Amino acid sequence: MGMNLTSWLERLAAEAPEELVTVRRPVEPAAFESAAVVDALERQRRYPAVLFEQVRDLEGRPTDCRILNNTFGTFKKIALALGLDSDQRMPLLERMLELSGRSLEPVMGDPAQAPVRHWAWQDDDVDLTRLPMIRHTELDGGSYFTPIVVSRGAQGRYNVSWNRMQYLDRDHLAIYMSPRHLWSYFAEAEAQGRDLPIAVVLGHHPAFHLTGALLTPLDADEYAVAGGVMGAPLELIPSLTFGGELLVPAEAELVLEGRILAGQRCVEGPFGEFTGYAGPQRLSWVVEISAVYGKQRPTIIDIFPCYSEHMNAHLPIEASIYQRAKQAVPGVLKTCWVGSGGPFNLIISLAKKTEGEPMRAALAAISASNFIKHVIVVDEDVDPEDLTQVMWALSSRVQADQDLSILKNLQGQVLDPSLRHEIKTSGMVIDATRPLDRPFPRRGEVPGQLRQSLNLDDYLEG
Amino acid sequence: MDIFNVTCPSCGREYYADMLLYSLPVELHCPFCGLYFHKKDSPAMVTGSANAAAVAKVPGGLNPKSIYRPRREKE
Repeated sequence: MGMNLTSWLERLAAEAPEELVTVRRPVEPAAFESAAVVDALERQRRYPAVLFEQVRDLEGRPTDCRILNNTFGTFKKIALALGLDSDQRMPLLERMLELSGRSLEPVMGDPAQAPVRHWAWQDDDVDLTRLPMIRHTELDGGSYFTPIVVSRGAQGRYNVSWNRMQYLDRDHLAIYMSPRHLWSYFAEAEAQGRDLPIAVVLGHHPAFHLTGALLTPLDADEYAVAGGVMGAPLELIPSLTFGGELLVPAEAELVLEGRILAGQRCVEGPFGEFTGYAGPQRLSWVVEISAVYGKQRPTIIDIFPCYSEHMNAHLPIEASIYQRAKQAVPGVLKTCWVGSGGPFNLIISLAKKTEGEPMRAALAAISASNFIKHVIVVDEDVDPEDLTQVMWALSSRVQADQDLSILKNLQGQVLDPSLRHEIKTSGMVIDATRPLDRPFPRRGEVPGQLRQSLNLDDYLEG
Repeated sequence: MDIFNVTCPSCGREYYADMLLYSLPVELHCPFCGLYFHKKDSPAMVTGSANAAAVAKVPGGLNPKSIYRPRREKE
């Protein structure tokens, strides 16, 4: 068996059984029921993958599908997807960078043998109401998928991206695109009056999904990158609608094929986003679905937006941000974006050699991704993942009139609720490092030699 | 981006949408009851914050019912 979601779930159950729970009673995802279960777990600070065995469709009818939530709920599960023992942030980021640099060209499979072709609906048989779609947060404008969307640019390169898709009718979905690669592929097609063919992958090995969050260059073929991240070449087959013009993963759980329609828009949302807010109803794009097919009993990966796994799924982006900051300033030691307490805040620690390095590292991080607008830079003695330490540095090493820099007219993240403009944002860099160009007090600590040599048990009785 | 609050003419519940949709001739979609409706049919659309009036503010926020219509206009 190849690299697929089933193999990952079996490995998860064997190696980290505490990271997986199964819900066997029927649930109605379109009535917020699966979301409410994940919410209840999160309120108890529990983040296991949750496999819903019996899920109802949009009309409340039983389906053969399953839904998996919290696939990325913990670093441990992400580590397992990347073949890594450590569930610590920096080894995960380094691993992500290592794997994403090892492109493996995909291989062609036999459509007749492809697991994803166990059943199919085409053309007039397409009926999205027969699928389980999910409502997560109270204001959601409808039921959603949170899939990986595969598209192909004019140069023939594949793009793999995470996009939210809302149910519109039996063969139409709304899709929201941030201005990145898929958006640019579609803009190019639409300028020529063409629709853009896409394949919507609703479940695969989690490493495939993580590829969708990588900041790869526009000229990189992301099927090949996905192979590198998965550690094995992706097996592809021709799509039912577009043949060899659009290849799809043979080991996907469930695939929808269709076109993003040129010249068409729709109202979509509100939708709870990674920001923690229900983003407003807005103008989005329309996808006409022409085929639906899947495995015998497909498992749909659903990312619970607004909740922990949604930010965790952005870890590949943090890897790229870390890489860019370190390329600019080799003294960069660690970053903390995911888990920093804010979806647009980044904390960088560095071993500062000269004044100016904190700003250079911060600007490199901001330029790497429009997800970042606030950067706090701390010294190597401050753990960027420990927000108490970060706040201590902020209060004791910062003079606001000297160490705070405001940046204007950056390209912002369009989902940032604080934006006043559609896309422009301001930014902020706080240099919370000790100055090198004047004397500065040392931390008040017991002598280091004694701290290291002291055995507390020698002093405490019982 | 700026948003505006809008009340569904059918179920009476309030949600919000991108300000771009305020000026575009498109129907909005109520997330609660699923109705597609024209903005002119909404009983309340609020562009500024209902609490934006710093001086003449109303406890609980301004809403259409807070605005007095002179008798002559009513008649």
